[in-house]
Amino acid sequence: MTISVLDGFDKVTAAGILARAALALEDSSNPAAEVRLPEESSIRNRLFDQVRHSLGIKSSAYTPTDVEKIVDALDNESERLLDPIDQPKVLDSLSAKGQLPADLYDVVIDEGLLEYFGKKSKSESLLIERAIKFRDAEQHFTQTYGELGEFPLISLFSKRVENRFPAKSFTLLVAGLRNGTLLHVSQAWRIYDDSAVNLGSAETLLDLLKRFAEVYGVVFTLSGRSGKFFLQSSVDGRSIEDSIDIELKEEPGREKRFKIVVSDYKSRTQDGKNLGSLVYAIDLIKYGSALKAHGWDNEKFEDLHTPMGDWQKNTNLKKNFSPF
Amino acid sequence: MSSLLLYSTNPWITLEIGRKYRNNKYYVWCSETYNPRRAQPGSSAAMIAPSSSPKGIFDNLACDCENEDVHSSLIKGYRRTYKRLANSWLSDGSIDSNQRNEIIATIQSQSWNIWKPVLFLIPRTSIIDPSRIHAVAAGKRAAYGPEFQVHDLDISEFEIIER
Repeated sequence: MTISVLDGFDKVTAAGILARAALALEDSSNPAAEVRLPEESSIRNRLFDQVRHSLGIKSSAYTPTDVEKIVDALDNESERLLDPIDQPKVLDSLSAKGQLPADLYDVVIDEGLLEYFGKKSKSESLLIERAIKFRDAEQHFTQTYGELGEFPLISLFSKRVENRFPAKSFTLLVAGLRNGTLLHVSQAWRIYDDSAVNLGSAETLLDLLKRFAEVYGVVFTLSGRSGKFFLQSSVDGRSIEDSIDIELKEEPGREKRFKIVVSDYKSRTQDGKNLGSLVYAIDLIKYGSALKAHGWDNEKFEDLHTPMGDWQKNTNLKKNFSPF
Repeated sequence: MSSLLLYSTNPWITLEIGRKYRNNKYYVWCSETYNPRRAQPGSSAAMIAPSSSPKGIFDNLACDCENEDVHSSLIKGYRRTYKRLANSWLSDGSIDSNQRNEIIATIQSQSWNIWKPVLFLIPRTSIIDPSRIHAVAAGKRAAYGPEFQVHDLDISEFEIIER
């Protein structure tokens, strides 16, 4: 149907007239339906008449069915006027801004993480996917963050996972990298209620991750700074992993072995330095003990730890890093 | 005596669009009664139509999302409305074409999260000028029971409850 009443208007203006007319027909009190153009009121009446006649609706006392037919015709005309949108491109752009609805991500879980889960990889993957899709909270970083250079598009999600045994309930904290609508998940940490991680006082998921690193992480030195968590750190030439010096301390009652996993989302600064973001080093023995204490275990658990037995001898620290 | 609160159920995307593109302003239909089915029989509140009941809309929308009902008439209606709004806002210059495309791409996507219901709890006292609360004329209401509108509700004037 071509609507001659709209001849002479550019496409965007015509689509606006059609949209407001349709809104008015369904809900005349909607402020968005108010006329915007000087002659829009009379244009709208002529528009209704023209559409009504073309649809064979005789009376202007519209029935609900008539209204439905007319607004459908108006919507179809709008659709015809305006160029279709490139939906994948727009969704990619929303993702880059950290504004994509969480359930639109296609979740890809890193091999290293799946290996860590062992036989539980299927159930854990489902848990991660659900934690993203039905997240309680989310936090996204964008490329402009930090102004140091290109910041990786990191996203954090958290989800409370209830168990019929309250002691086994936990918060799952998931971290991943966005690439369009793909979300590459590289980390998923369980934080149990009775852990020393203070869930309640964390205002953001970044805070929560920092608190997790404070409890389960080890102190390391990077670029002259010492700590358990750095939002960002840059180094010349070498990689972040090769630049990290880890300080291991024996603790009373703790196993005398370590397996450390280093998190750092890599990118480069504008002047070409290697940039690590969200850098922390988790003591997997300590974290694994917490999982075990809450009944989470798998057949790969010991295997994963065994090769780290000599690690404390400090023969080659870097070789034993296994960043997810 | 008028109630202390007004209730309005909207999909989450309403909240988001208001925040991102409309300077935190909302046009809402609302009711003095959250659940007309629990209202005193014979009272005007008991005569609010199910299609205008904040609880009814909330439950239906939540159910449609939970079951990923692609034939949901509520969601289809919201989609159509937001598409028209996006086109109207584009034509009056209040959003640009990228923003219009973002709204349309989002509402046409497969997301169910965006349609999850949120309940706006509007304390009457937060609306300084009571004339902003419009009683809907009988002919425009879904049934006899009273319904209200606020045309320019600011985000600071209500609390949000999500399930």
